[in-house]
Amino acid sequence: MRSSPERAAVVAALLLTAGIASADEGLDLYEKKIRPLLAERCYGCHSVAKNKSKGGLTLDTRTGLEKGGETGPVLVPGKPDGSRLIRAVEQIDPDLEMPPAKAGGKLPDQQIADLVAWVRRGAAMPADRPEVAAAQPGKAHWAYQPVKQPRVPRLKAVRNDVDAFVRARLAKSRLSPAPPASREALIRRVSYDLIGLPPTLPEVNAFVGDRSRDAFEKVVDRLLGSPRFGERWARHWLDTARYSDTTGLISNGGKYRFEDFRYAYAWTYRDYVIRAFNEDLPYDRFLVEQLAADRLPDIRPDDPRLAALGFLNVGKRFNSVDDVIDERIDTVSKAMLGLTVSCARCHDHKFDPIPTADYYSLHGIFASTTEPYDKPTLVRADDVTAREDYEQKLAALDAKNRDFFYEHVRMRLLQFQDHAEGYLSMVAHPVRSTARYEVAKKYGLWPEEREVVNALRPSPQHPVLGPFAQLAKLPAAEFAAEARPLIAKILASEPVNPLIADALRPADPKSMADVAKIYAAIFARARKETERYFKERTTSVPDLAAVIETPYRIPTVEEIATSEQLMTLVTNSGQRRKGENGYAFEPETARKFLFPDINELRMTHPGAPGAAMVLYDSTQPRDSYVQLRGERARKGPVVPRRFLEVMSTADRPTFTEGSGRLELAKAIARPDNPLTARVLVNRVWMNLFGAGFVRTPDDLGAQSEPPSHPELLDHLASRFVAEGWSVKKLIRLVVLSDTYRQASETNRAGETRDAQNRLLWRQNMRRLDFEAIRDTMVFLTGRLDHAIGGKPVNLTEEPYSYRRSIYGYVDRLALSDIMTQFDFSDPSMANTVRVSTIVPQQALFFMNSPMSIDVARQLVNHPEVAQAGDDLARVRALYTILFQRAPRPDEVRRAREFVAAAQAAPPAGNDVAVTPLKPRNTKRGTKYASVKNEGERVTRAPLTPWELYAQALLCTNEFVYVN
Amino acid sequence: MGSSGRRAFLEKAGLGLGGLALGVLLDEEAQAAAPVLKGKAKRVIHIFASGAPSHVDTFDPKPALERFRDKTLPGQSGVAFPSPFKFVPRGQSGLPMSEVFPRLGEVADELCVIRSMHTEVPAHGPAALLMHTGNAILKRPSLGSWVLYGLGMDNKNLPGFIALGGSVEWRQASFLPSPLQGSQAAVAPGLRPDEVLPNLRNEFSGADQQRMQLDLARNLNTQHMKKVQRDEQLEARIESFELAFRMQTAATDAFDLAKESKEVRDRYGKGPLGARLLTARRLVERGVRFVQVDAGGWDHHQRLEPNLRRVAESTDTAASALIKDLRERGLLDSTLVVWGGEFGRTVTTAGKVDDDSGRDHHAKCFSVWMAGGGVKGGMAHGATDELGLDITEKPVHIHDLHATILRLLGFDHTRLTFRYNGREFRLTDNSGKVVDAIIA
Repeated sequence: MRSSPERAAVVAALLLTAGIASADEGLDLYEKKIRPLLAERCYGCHSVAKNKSKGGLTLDTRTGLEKGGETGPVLVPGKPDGSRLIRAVEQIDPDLEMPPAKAGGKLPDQQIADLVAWVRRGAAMPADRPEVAAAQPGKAHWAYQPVKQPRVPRLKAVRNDVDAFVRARLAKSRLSPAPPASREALIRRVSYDLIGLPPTLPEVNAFVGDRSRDAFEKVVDRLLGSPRFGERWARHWLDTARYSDTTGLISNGGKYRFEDFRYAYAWTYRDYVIRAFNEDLPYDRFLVEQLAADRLPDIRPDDPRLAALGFLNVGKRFNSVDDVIDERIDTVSKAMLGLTVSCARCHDHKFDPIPTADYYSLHGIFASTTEPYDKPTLVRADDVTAREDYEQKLAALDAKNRDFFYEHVRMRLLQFQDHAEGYLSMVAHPVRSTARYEVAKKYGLWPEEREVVNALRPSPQHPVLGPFAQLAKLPAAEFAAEARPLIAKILASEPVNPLIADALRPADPKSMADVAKIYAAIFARARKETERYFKERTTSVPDLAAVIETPYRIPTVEEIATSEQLMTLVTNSGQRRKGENGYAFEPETARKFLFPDINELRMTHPGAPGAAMVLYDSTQPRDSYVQLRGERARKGPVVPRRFLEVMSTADRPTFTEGSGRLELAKAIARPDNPLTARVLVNRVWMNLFGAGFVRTPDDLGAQSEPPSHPELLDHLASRFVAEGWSVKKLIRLVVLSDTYRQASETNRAGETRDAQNRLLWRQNMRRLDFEAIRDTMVFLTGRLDHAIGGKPVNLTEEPYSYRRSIYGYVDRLALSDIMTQFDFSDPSMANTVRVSTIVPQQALFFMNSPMSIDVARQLVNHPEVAQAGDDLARVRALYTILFQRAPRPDEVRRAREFVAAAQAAPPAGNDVAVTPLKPRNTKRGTKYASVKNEGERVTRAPLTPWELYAQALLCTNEFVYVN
Repeated sequence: MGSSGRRAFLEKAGLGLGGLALGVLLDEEAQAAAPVLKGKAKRVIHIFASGAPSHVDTFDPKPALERFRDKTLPGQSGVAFPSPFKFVPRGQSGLPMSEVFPRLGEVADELCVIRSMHTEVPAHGPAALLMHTGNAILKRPSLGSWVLYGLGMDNKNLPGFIALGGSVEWRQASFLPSPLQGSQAAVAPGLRPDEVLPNLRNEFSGADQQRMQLDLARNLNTQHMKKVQRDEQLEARIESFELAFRMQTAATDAFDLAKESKEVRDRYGKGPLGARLLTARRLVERGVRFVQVDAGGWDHHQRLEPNLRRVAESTDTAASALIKDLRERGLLDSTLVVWGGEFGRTVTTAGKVDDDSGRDHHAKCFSVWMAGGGVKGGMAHGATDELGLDITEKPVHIHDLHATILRLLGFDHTRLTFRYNGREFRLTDNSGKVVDAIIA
């Protein structure tokens, strides 16, 4: 410790002016008195070293003390009075007493005095050792470090950089790669990997026969250029984006009581993703568009890029706004950053450097957005007749909705007017009070009609009911004395309907019952003209109109011309602001509106347009406060909208453009973001090898395993960014490697030293996923529909669709059984990994489903098979179509034996179904079930021996695996 | 465990081997433990009341709340909302139960209520996952998969773990062998077996023809396996076709509720839950080890009174019928029935107490009950404070519940492990304490 007269003088000056002692002096105090006292009495619950952080507070590091706890800072250096730490130990506030009784209770006075003195002197303590400073969990984790450009290992005879890294690593473990796969196996593998379909016979033959050096490049480039490519790779992203055509919400509350559980336009997002992959939209732009297409400077009102915003909107919905926001934070962070940020909703992330404050920084962004019911139209149906038909049907539904609305309101108004005295007397008493119950009984209104009662909760500013509402607040005992002065005051200050004003001015009510009588007389007058008013919109006295329209306002036909308008009206809580109470429709009423029918029409009618599922910034974006332990009611400090600290630049700018979505998107898509490119590269690798470098592609955080090839991951990530974020270039590079092209053969060294093949000493054999299996089957029927995009179809129920699986309707609440059984990605949240299970229901699908029968029949009808001259040629054709190879002699022999035996056997036993199954019941038991396809059911008739044979081939392992 | 033990395990799990490679299991040794302790339970029916039932309205009476009606409680948002339901002592044991369970009260002496359950995250997704897999965040094998792993299959013609409703994640096998994953059956009233399990019946070919097809496929598969890398999945897939073939008959019978008398069907109730629990009984009768039943609808944020009453009624009817039925058939001793949700609910409501009142999520305490399978009946274990906010006695974490369920089945939860990714995994991770006090 250095000491000099000058320094002493400065210290003295500081002491005099700011009351702050020298740091050294404070440090001394800290070491001698404060640290021992904290250690003895506080570390038990508040210590990084002990991994205890009650209330989010740790006291054994400077970082911890400076940061404070869940409720904010605990120390204000120099100001003991303003420091919660001091308040806590002084035990002034019963809600804030530290240490608690069970930890020994209040500190001795001397120790409290020491703490006070220490804080007054500036609360000095030594800087944390670097490892402590970094001990914010996980900050040193590889994935938060900048992407490096590792030197490519110099190896001989490798085809490309991928091989250099992989071979170098194999050599380290004394392993050698497998030989190249056969051309038949390779084209089957690469076709499935790139377009999700098997190669055709001519394609196989062309490749096998192509002796040019770039034969495989030609195949790869053809596949990358095929529109089928986008249909395959978009599906991978849709797993990550938890794509679904339904909200997953069954609710009894809010606007959802009117709305359908389906998203009519989710498919426009799906089509956007297909287009993005087919056009090789640079991945950084792809991300930005999905978060903030509407904020792009060159965006037009009907810009197809708006469909990208479906990413934020096709998720699972919840009743609570916070849960919806959480779902978005979860998806954005997992999908784009490979991080589980939503873990920080209730407490700082346990493993990754994501404090709760960061979570609420993102929360503020999504809390500052709105989702319009009316969405921008992007695609119009080409077929004019269909379009007109759709418009007509929509108009008819709109009209029905309107008619129902008017009729219902009319009925409720009459009901109210007929019993106005009773209803008003009732609502003058508190809910569930005995008095209210007695009034209701007296007027015969028990059980009460909730809709009327709920609508009778107007604001004090309501021109008709306002005075009533204000008078009702007077205590009963003071009513007689206070009513008249209050009436005078109201009439002087509020705009009151003249009819009400005239009735109240001379009145001298002694109780609310009297007020109810006064009102009832006016409503009785309104009652006489209500029917006529509904027809003609006129009244004998103009002011009576407002009375008739109490408690329900009657909009004009123009105001509710469309269902959007009607929906807005009946769900708008904003009515309250205008002094009205909205319509307060109960679920039973809500269900009678035809909004779900309208949604269904939009989703299924061929003439219906496609709209973008947009999200806009709210007009007044604002920051969120930290919700302590994730509870809305427990407010912590307000945090600015900005990006996660661990990936921010030093200045960590706050977001100011609207909600900040675009700034967030740009922060994610920055070339130097350590995670964005790595996450994408890891996923691409996973889709080409069956497992990623890191096998948890949605979590590259501190809890994930170390990557199998860290240098290669970084090499590919930096190259990916440098080459313009081109996914196609990345895929091309990887599939052209020898590593990708090697056989899936096993060898003893590999099995012993790396049984899981993490080092890629061979390719992995993989089971086809649901889409590849179904698409192959559809393809084999020869009826595959090549159209791109469009409204969702039913994938698994008859009549079957011949569209690719990506166009399937996905109901996140009730995924079709077959999709579930074939391990379709669970769309409840971002789920990038497909598991591969084997359950008997999969077998039943191949054995018994009409789809399997249909495919077997079409296979036998395939020209190559049908025109085959003999059995050998027939078997050969079937093998080439199904497996892309020639049958071996024993396989031909078995085929012959099978067909002969099947011919000899009686066609079908007695147990063949005589009664066809009825179409399966709809899941929900409602009329709004899954979508239905047009077309024919598969003919119920026995199979020929060759059809039985073809079906047996569909049941083989070879059919559903790629080597 | 040596390779013979592994083989035994695989066969038990329905993965019969046929003399072929053991695939990954050479590397990742399975540690299936045959029951090492005495356990009465041989199978489990887990009735999962998803949505999180309110403890103070069902099994944990809190009359003291009445004193605070419409008043704020320290540290809680909203105002105190006393239960709108009366509690009555039931059975000889006098177990207090909410009036919404009149019939279940008739079997009160079979019920062991744990009032001191607690969990971690008061959000449905993670909490349900924790209840089913012991982990709220990561993908881990489900309770049913662990049970099947430990016990093996008792009926080779039916899946050993069947889920009647519920999410895929709740029945996932994760890193356990895939046949241990729960099979979904969409049981609902009035559905025929072939509608419950899709593609259970072939409308085109007969059993003989199918047999020929499967024999051919098996032959071709055997040849195929000789040429490609070793993979246990290939073997499992062959077996799955055999199982499927037998299932056509066995499952058609098991899921056919028409084979029950009308009287029995009526006892279980007409709703979906009745059909599911009756099916559950038929399945455990046939040796299915674990039946998971989604009995949801308990998320009563609003209008708790009518909504809870409605969902409780179907539970009351179906669950009481199940317990009586199992008892009459002598199956209750060997069948553990577990009922409960993923967390509890607040004892307060937002705003004020009225017809719209409901309860929000609360992770600090909730109630579950068990019956049969060697648990003590007619008792309540653990306690919460006067207001139902926090546990005061004998807390039971989800891990503890899992440990206890495994113990009732005869397993030491610390020894039922599976080696994966370089370490031993178990259902209870590094925690779990068996609640001995409730074991008979």
